[in-house]
Parts: sequence; structure tokens; C-alpha cells
Amino acid sequence: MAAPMELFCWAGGWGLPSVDPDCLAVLTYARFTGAPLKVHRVSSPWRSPSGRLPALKTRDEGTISKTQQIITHLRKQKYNADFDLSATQGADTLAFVSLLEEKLLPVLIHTFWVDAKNYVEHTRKWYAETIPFPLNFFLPNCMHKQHVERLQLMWGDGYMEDEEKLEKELYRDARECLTLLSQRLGSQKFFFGDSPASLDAFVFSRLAPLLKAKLPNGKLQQHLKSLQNLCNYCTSILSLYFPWDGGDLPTSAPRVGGAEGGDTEEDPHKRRNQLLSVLVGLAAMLGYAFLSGIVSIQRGAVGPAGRQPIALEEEEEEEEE
Amino acid sequence: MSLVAEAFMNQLAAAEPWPENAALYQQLKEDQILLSDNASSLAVQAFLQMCNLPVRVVCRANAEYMSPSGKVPFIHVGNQVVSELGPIVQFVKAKGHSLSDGLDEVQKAEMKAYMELVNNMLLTAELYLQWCDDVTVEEITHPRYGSPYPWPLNRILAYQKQWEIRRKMKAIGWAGKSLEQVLEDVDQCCQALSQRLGTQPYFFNKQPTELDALVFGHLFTILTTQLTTDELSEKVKNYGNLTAFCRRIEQQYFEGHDKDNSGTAAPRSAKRSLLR
Repeated sequence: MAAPMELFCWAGGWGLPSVDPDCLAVLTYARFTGAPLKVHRVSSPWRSPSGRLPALKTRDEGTISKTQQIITHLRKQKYNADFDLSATQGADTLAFVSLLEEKLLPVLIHTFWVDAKNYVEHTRKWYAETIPFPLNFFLPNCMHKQHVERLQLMWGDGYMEDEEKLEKELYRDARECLTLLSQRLGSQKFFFGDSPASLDAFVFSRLAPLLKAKLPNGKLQQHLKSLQNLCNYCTSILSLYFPWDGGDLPTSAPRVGGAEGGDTEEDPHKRRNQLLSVLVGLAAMLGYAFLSGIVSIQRGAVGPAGRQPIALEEEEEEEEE
Repeated sequence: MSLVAEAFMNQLAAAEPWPENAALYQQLKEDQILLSDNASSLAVQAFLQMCNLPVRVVCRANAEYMSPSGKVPFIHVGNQVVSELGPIVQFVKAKGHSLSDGLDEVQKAEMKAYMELVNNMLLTAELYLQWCDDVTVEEITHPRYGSPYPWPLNRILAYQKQWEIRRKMKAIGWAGKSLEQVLEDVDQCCQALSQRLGTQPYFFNKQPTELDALVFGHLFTILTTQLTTDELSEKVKNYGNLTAFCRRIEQQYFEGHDKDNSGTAAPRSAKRSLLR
């Protein structure tokens, strides 16, 4: 009997339970296997125990931060979605995951984070609105720089100079990857028959943001939408495993097997924080007023409250005397 | 170049037949070339042999810098220069030779996926071993990489390359891995390949494809290159059908051409330790 592990992941948006592909992969895998996870949807990586998202806090092994390691850990805890797969299917999983990571994921990152129009109008806007003050001023930019650097290292330095050519080549490869996935899926419900496996979690987590986000510059998105079986695949997984609208932060009815009490935590804390900041501000003002003598309480005299600006001049007069 | 220009170039390429003096450039075989580059080069050579296209291997110390994309090997055919296996396969296809025409759509998808698996896991593991494992770097990589150049250029170039590769490893998340984990990944990859190959002679049907060439290039190089430890080649040797596969391709495509120039005998000379 596994103690409930805690999963920290990015908040939901655009109709999805989480906007980040890695977090989505872990969430989907957990749903497929029915692992009891307490999900905390946080709006900034600073609130995660390891400083990065996704993060799985386990009882025995500390905090795990890498997607693949989290899934391996869940597998060790006997939540294995690949149990029924034959050896060849297991090999195919490894191969297709590699295909996704090499061909599709970099282009996905490019579409969301590097493409100027998309980044400014859509991605940065969403992150700036979701991340709390004051992180929202520099965290999206920080993430943008990290992603650009990563792509530069993966694709070579020539990428920045000849943007057009590489965009065409890389986007062509990504479109080909999508077409290949569509052909491999065919008319099946999941990639390996009728029950979902880890490959389905990975594919879904890469495709769903691309499908659901409203991108201003959506060349890749249009290609995905033209592949009908992949669109149906994504929507069916969403409706089967994430039946409530995953986009809202304070959501209702959690699914069976995933005690997500962490959702409603966000709102009361926000209120409380606002109240606290107002109180602290007031206390600071009053304290300054009392300490500097602008306002003083005299026994039997009229209450000094409300006379602060005028009281300043009186104070000076008193001192001069 | 724009799509129109690219299509035009492809047309030009398709128009000319494969010339007799096609050349494949790589680094110096005896002293300079490293494990990963040798694997890539052997994969391209195997592919061209399978397509029955003659090519001679030319060794140059600055092959890496001559290449249009910075990676070896590259081929010089007519007046065009193409580097890396992926673009070379497409180039050869434009000339009318293809190994994967007989595959259906699902098989093509699987072939591409397995090629990415090899690139993602085997090639990255080779790079890791060469550039991030301190013992190997000290004893093998640094001396070999800069060997054609005088001091201090050889040290500078080696450090520069090492820094670049380490940054890339960090970007893809491999920097935090230990050697055991990397070997574990290699084992998983070999297991997947072994499963897929099964008892067939080649990965798809009875005809070899570019996937066979790529797998052969990497596995053969791993098996015949002597490093500081034998752990990497041991991982591959665990899978009997993979070693049989390598032997079969070597016999079929490389031994028959022994009498030709030394280039195509690359696998042969690799048998005696590549590095000492």
C-alpha cells in the first residue's frame, strides 16, 4: 500500500490539466495506472520542493524531478502501464519516444517559446498572468532564454543565423513525425490496442498543448488538425481521463484515484495574502506615525487619528518652542 | 535555401547519374578519428555499399571543418556536398536509389523511430563516453583529437570541443548521469534492437534498409574499438543476434571488396585495435 505521493506540476490552462508537456506526461501516466497521487497545481516552480517542475515527493526517496525517473519510480511502485506489452511493443515504445523527443519536442518548444509572435502574444502572456508577483516579471523571460539556449545547442549555432531554412527543415521533420504517428496509430484506440500504455502518455502530452492552445502562428497546429485520428485520440483521452475542464485552477470534483485537494488551496491563500499585505502596510504607516511623533496619544486629549498631515506642522511648532 | 531553390537543386541532382569519383571524407583513420565519428562514417559507407554505389574514402585531418554542417562524414558527389546520414539518404533517393521503397507506411514509421532511437541513445552514449568520462578523455580522446596539430593547438581544439559537447549534454539532461546509468541506457537500447531484429536477417523483410546500415555502423564500431574498459562492448555482446547481424553485414558488404582501395576495408582494419 503506497503512501500517497505528492506531485507538483504546472497549473492547467487552455482546456488542459497542465500546460507543460512534461508535467502532462506524468499526470496522464498516473491517471492511466490509477496511481494515488496528491496533485498540487502550482503556478511557479519556486513552490515545488526541488525548484523544478514536475516534481514527485515520495516518502522514501526524497524528491524526483525528471519525467523519466518519475515514471520509473511509479513503475517500481507497481503502477505499470506497460505490463501487458510484449517485448517487441516495449522496444517500439522506446523507439517512438526517441522519435518524439528528437523530432517533435524541439519544434514544439520552438513554436511555443521561440517563435516571436507566439511567444509574445500567447505563451508569455499566459505565464505572466499565472505566475504570482513579483516572479512574473522575470521568470517567463528566464525560461525563454533557457529554451533558446537549449535549442541552439541541439540544433547547432547555424540555427540562429539561417532561421528560415532551418525552420522549414525542422518544421518539415516535425510534420513528418506527426504523419508517422498518425499512420502508426491507424484506427486503433491506443497505440497498443485497447488499453493505454506509457507511449500513449508521452504522445498525448506532446500533442495536446499543440492541439488546444490558441496560437497566433499555428503552422504546425494546422498540420496536426488535419490528421483526424490524432485529434480524436487526444480528445478521447481528455474526456476519458480528465473529464472536468482541466483549465481552471479552483476546480471541482476530483477524479477517483487522484485526491487533488491541492487545487482549492490557491484561492484562500491569495485572499489571505492580499489581506495580510494591506494589514502590514497599515501597521507600518501607523507605527511610523507613532514613532516619529506625528501622531501621539495623550491621556484625556482628543484622539489624534486623521490629523496626520496637519499634525506635522503642529509638531514642528512644538519643537521650535 | 528557399523551397523553390531546393527543388531546383534536387532536380539537378536527380538528373546526373552517380559519378565514379564520389568521395567520402572523414578524419584520419589510424590516429585521429573517434568512436562516434567512426560509427557515423561506417554507417554511411554501409548504406552506400547496400545501394551499390561506389565511393572512395578520403581521410583528412580537417574533415570536420570542411563539412557543411560541421559533422562527419560528408560525401562529395559531382559538385554537391552532403553531410550526415539523413540528408545523404535523401540525396541518394533523389538520384533514384532507395532501400526503403518496399516498406509500407507503418514500417516506414517504425524504421524512422528506430533510427532516432539509435541516434538518441547509442550516439549520445558514445559521445558521453568519449567526452564526459574523465578517464577516457584523458587517455584516449584528447591525444587522438588533436594529434594532427602541433602544440598548443591540439590542446586548445580538444578543450573547445569538449566544452561544446558537455554543454550539449547538459542541455539534453545527460550531464547528471553516471557512467553506470549511461551503460544501462545502452543496454536498454540494445535490448530493444535485439527484440526488433529477432531471428530475421535484417530489420525489415529480407532486404537491408538504412536502419540496418546505421545499426551496423554503431554496433560494429563499438565491438571492435578498444577503450579503457570493455563494458560498452560487453553490453552489445550480450545479444547474440546483434553480433551475428554485424558479422553477416560485414561479410556480405565489406569482405567482397577487399581488393579495392583501403577505404572500404575500414571494418577490417578496425578489427585490430583502432586506438593503440
